Amino acid sequence: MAKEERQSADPPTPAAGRRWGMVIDLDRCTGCQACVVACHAENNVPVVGEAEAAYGRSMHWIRIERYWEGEYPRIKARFMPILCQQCTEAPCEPVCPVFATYHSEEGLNAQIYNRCIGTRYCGSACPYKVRVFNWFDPQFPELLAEQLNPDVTVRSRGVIEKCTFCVQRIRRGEEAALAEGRPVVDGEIQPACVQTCPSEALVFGDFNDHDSRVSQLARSRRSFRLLDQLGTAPAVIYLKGGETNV
Amino acid sequence: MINRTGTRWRWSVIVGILFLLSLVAARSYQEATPSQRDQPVAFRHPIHAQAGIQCLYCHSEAARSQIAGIPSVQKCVGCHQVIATEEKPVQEMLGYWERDEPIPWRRVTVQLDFVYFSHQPHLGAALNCETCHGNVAQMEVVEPAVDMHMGWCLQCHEAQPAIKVARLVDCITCHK
Repeated sequence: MAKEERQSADPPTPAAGRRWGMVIDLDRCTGCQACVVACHAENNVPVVGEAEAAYGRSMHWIRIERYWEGEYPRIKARFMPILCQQCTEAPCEPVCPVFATYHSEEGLNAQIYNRCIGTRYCGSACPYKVRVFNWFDPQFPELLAEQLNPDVTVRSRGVIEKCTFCVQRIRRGEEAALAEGRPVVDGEIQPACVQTCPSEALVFGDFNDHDSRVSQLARSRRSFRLLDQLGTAPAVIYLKGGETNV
Repeated sequence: MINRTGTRWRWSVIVGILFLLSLVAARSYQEATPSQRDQPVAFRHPIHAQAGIQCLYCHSEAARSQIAGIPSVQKCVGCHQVIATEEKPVQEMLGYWERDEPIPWRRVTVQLDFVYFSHQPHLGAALNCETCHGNVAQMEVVEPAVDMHMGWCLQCHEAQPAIKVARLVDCITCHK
């Protein structure tokens, strides 16, 4: 029962029925970037190109941070996918002067693009730096423009955008379940990154359901939350244990 | 006398310019709100409704998906192989069928890109098509019946049972 001794990293539960969240097992992540590609394709995130990226204007809703551990030749790389942590106490929300970002009933930190006026206060307030700004109107290469997801709007110049936990997929899943008159099954709704991850490092689900896979994983003694000391209470929980991915 | 001719000339120029402007305005108005006038085939909803055909017979996707769907030429031919084959619009439609071409219908009711709307949950909540689309069964020329702005959507969403309201007025329910 050593597992129970450590305080688990369950986020505080809001009043509503669901609390969507994600568990990322860093011991499984190989840094392959498939989640990044999937996210770009699913959410119509433009690729800004090398020149703009050099100005720090690259746009990703999820990024892989790489850390080197040790000294050559006893060196290893560790990878950390970082996406919007969907904080329960989100620092980005109170700073928005027009309420373009707010907390939904299901714990999602939502961004309403056509309300956004582009002050970028939220991007400054975010300690995880996961909010990206559209400095220019998005441009897609010829063939990529043909595969834009109709369920996701193409953001225009001057608005902030960020990971939504693929809210369009959550909507679809919930509507499908409602139409069939059944509850949403755990694991049925998957954001694009979770669906794509070849090593199944990412898991998505409802933290308010104590039997869901994310809840079970979150109770692991390997669990921690990113910058937990800030009190943002993220809905993304990371798992990392010593030497497991050597 | 010279003066009066000049005035008349000036007036006719002004009237002419106004007429041209009104033509331009009318044209751009038509482009902004596509109506049945611009449809490739002179389809008439009333005649079909009078024959007792339900909306969902042709727009069957409404019951199970986001879009209501414009019926395929195949669906038209299903009836019109034998019914009213001598009518000119029907023959035009059959022409598309023989050429293996889809009919380039123009959408009348359009939602903006940043709005998520699905027909299915609305029909699931037992709404009638007429609630949002007006009495299409009597429209010779289908026009948008209501201005589908956010306030209009919300006046219904807010009137729902209290347990549903929080979800129905949530921004990301409809904004994508």
